Amino acid sequence: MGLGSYLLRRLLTFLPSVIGALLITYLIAYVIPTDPVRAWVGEKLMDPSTLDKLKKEYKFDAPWYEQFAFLVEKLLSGTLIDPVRGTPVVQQVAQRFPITVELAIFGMLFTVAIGIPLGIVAAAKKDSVIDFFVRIFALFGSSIPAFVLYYFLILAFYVYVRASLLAGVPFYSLSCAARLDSIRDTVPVLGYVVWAVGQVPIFGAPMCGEFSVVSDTVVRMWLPGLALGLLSGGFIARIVRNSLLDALTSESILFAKARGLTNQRIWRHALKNAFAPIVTILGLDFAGLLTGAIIAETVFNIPGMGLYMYQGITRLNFPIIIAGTFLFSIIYIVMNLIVDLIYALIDPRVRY
Amino acid sequence: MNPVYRFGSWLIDKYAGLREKISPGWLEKNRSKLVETKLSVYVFTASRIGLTGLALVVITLFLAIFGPFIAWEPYDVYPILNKPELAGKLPHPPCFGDCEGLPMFGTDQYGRDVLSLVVRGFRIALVMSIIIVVTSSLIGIVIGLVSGYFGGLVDEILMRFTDMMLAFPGLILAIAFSLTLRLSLRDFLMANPTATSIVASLFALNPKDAPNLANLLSVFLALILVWWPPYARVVRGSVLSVKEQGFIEAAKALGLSTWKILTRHIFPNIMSPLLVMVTFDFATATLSSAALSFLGLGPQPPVPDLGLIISQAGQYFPERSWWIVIEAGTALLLISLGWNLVGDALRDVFDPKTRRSIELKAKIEVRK
Amino acid sequence: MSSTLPKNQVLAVRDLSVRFYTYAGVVHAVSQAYLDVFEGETVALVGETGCGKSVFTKAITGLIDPPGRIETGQALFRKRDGTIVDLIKLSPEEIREIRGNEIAYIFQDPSSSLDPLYTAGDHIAETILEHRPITKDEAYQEAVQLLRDVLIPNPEVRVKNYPHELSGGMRQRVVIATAISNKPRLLIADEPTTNLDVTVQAQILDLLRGLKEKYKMSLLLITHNLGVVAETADRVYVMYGGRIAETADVNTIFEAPMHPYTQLLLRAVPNPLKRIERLESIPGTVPNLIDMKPGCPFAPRCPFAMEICRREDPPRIDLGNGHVVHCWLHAKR
Repeated sequence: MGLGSYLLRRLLTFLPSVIGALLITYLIAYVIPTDPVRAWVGEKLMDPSTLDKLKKEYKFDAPWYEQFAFLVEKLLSGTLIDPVRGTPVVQQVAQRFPITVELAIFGMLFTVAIGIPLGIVAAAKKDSVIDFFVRIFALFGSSIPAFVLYYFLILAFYVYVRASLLAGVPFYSLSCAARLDSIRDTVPVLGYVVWAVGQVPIFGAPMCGEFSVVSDTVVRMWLPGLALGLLSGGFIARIVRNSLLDALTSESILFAKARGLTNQRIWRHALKNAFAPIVTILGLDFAGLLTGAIIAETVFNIPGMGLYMYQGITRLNFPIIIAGTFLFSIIYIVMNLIVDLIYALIDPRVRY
Repeated sequence: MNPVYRFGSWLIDKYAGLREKISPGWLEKNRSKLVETKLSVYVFTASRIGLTGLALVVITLFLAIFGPFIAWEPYDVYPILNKPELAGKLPHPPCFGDCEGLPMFGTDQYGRDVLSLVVRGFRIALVMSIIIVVTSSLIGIVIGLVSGYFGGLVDEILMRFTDMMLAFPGLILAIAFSLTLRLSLRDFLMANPTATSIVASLFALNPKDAPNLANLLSVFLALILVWWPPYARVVRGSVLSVKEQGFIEAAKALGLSTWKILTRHIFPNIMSPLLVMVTFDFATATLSSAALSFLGLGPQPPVPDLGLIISQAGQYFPERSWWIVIEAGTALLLISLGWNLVGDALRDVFDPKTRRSIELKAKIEVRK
Repeated sequence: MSSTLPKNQVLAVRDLSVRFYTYAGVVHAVSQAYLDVFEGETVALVGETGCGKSVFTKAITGLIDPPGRIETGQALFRKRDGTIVDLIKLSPEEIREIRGNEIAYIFQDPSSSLDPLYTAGDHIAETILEHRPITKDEAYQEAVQLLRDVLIPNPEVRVKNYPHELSGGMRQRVVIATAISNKPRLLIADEPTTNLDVTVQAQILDLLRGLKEKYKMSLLLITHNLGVVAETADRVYVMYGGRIAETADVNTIFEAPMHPYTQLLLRAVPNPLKRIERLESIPGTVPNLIDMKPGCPFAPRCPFAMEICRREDPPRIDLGNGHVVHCWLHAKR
């Protein structure tokens, strides 16, 4: 009993969620548009023969189950073709996804660095000026439109003070990429994990000793990371503060005091109890960062999944949108799964 | 006692007087509820945050209703077309001196006065957020009530569906829905001029601009589709906890009809968390619809949508359009900040812990 | 007030007053309360909810937080090594060393006393290790032994259980085991049986009695349940409105109560052997402790209240044999 069986049970709900994702993607791709052909093709004019070929290819005139099967096959095998480039969407996704992950990691770092200390201080000094400031900070963070904040930070730190870059994303060399590929091919299981982690440039580069990539990445990514951190930091600080205060005033802390435990020990009890819900919120925040990446990448010009989706939107490139929606949905579902597992690790009550 | 509370208290008294006239004896029966409400108003007005928020909300609502009438420039006229000599100078930064007749607070790339556009923008932003929140909350409430109250198979099916929707990132789905709905809506509006004119007057836009209206509609329909699940979940949760407390069994035992149970017993108990949720959602909906417009899913120029204005300004950012971002951005900030502040204060009003400490202070004043 | 204790006395509290400074005014939670506990005895502290019993004992052990403040008072305690200290005057660090070590505390609700993220063994070992320099393994072994002492079956297994895996009665036993892990001189139990089923209540009381014998502890039992008092206490203190109303040994309290409040309390408990016509209750509600004026706190509800009761604090009347009552009725003019 315990963690293992909980994991198993949680995985069982994973499958229906994936099916749900496929269903909703199907709805978007085939059902909702009144003229799916027009939607997929875009507003361009096409000669009838090409149109017919497309209709057959994408099964627009076929019954719904054939359409659904077609879509599922295309999505899961990664062979959905981007009409503009002519290549499978998956290629671009594979290249861009690690960059979005990198952005999300930077955002998370700043959120945690800003939010958690502020929250702890606000709890320790309840009802003080700092407490009030945290509240206001959280309110502003959730009231300012993200893109407005981004523009302002760019104005401050790129135009007036050249403290960051705005073009491209540093990547490690091809030889490094080849080395990572060979690790994946030679070492079982662990090799795959190493390869997967290494896809994110800031992790892969140090593995090959290419440290200049790391510093370049930091210069490039700290500003968007800070922006994301400012947006969510206040909110996290408030959650931390409330969670900590609840823990500190609980009866088990009173009993701990009555047992003569030191202040340090008592804070450890309180923090451990407070952090279970905080971890959940952080996990959801990470998932939120991934979806907020669309706007962030557009403004900061970061060539990740978000920018890819944005380009798909403006150019009305349906396959990109379909694949993107499906992918982001899957990521979200997986993130929720991971968060639940971490929570079960911390709080033994959940495992039943 | 502060003046805002006095005003609120006066309103409540007037309302009570009216109800008393309609059905005598109402006052006695509802006295405790009235005192409760007065207490809530007192606690709310005691918070500076709440009052500031309320002020912002009143101001932005005023601008939303009267904006299109106050705005001094039409939004669908491009000055650059009439005065091509301005081309090199646009967008023009603000100038508070003598600027050859150019607007004080700067222009956009078409030569229109940015401030006037922003004033018009309030209407769109607010109508959008209100319709989104009201509609989705109604849908969510109904589903939550039905699911929680009837339980069993109905509950299972509805909740599976809701959970499926909740498992997805809202913004992404909204983007996808918006894109796919847009074409269908365009066809629909083209075929229904009455619908078009209704929508146009709501948003104070030109009814002949059907495609842009369709885009607007697609944005908020998409957001409604994505917005209702949290409400269903929360309402169902509240209904279940009320059920556990045994009110419902007792009511059923007394022979009360389902409708009466729902309205008299369940609904008042779920009001407070709902009210807080709705208030916060007004802010979030404003920002989300602005975000979708920013991404290009909403109306296109010349419609003065705040998100669109900022995204257009992005091309010339930063030296040539910073004032546009400031003005439109501040407008959005003020709208959401107002609702967020009110929501925050409301949450404190309904939180028994914070409420009690203020209540103790107020005891002397309200129990009249 | 002296600063010495007789050889066999463990605790002597004198003139303790605790005030809470709140938005609504100053709450006189405890006023001029006193208490004596001798070696090996069980003292019961009785009173209604809100009469100040918990605040009183928390004040003794330094568990009062702002906005509460101990205004006056002295709490002499004889430590294991024989030295006598005034608990009220100790620094936070000094009193922390005494808590969980020489004076232990258990609370009403065992489910919320235990930290859900820590096992039973963790709780006990932690308390041991905080006060004694032994190794972790030794501490866990002692934990298993303690669980056996509190009569939990399969202690080797249970020591690794989390609170949610234990029943209510077992949780309370774990709490007790944690409290006695360092063999304290005094165990303060705040309503230890109120949240438990009646059958479990009896078991816990028996357990406490047994442990008291085995570890030579004194027990300070806070309760509003007179049945428990009759079963287990040697001496009783009755509290009302933050003040001690009456104190005597248990037999005297039940057979010859002098304070009107004590008398009404006893009449409110039905005697299963006697035939009763009506259940009696004490009319009125708990007194308002905010900004209290001088006068007996029970006066509004007292059937024998006199003019002077409402004006002046009742005097302390010593009726001999340790029986003391605070009431104008028994004052000799």
